[in-house]
Amino acid sequence: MTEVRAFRQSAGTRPRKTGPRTCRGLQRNHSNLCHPKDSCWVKRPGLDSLREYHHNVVIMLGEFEYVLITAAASLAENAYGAAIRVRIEATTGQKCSIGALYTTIERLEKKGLLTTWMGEATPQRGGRAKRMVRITAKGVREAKSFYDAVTCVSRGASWVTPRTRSAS
Amino acid sequence: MTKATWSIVDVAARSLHPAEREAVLGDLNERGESAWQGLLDVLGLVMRRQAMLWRSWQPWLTAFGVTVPCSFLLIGGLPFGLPILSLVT
Repeated sequence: MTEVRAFRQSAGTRPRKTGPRTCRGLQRNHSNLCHPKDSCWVKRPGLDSLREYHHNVVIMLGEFEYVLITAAASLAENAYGAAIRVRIEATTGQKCSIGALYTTIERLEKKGLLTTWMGEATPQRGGRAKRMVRITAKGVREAKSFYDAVTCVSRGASWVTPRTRSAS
Repeated sequence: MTKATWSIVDVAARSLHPAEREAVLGDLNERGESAWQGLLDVLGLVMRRQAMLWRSWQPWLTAFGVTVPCSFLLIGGLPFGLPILSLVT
């Protein structure tokens, strides 16, 4: 808060009390990418003012975090380390290391986006337990926010396949 | 050779949290990965865990605020060849 106050004094401007209208999860200056009437335009009163003023960017999920959350969500009750890893490698075609997987799981757990617990041991795992993963409601919200932002910013890009039928 | 490598994997995994070690070694078993690949995976995770410790300020303070100065004291001199008595006089 001290930093925010110092910034306000140096800038000589009074910040708005309500959050800015912004395309969810994107930089404020990217407002020309989406029309204000689009569904992704929402008021974000909860936007962290410190981040807004100092970085002018909203912290979103990382792309690997999003991939992991999505893979875990699609596996539902069967989401655990090895299964998530297989799903990520199958969908992205990239190798997913155990180090990346478990450090990301821990980071997301600290953020409160997922919960983990030790599951049952199976013979095919050499009698070792699984680390089960479940997405929290906050995790679902953050993943949806990321998806909305990526969908929003991708609109009009040359590699995006138009979903509506083009007139032939 | 493979058995020896798996025992190295076990040793490397000992620096992980017991629950995490259980999950990681179980995952390697389930996927049927080779011992060398398993060793690389475990070492990668261990290195990431160690690197994460250095993201806080305490290890840096300990290293450069305590350990390095004390090491010079133990050597009996200052950097650049200055004798330690040059500080006093």
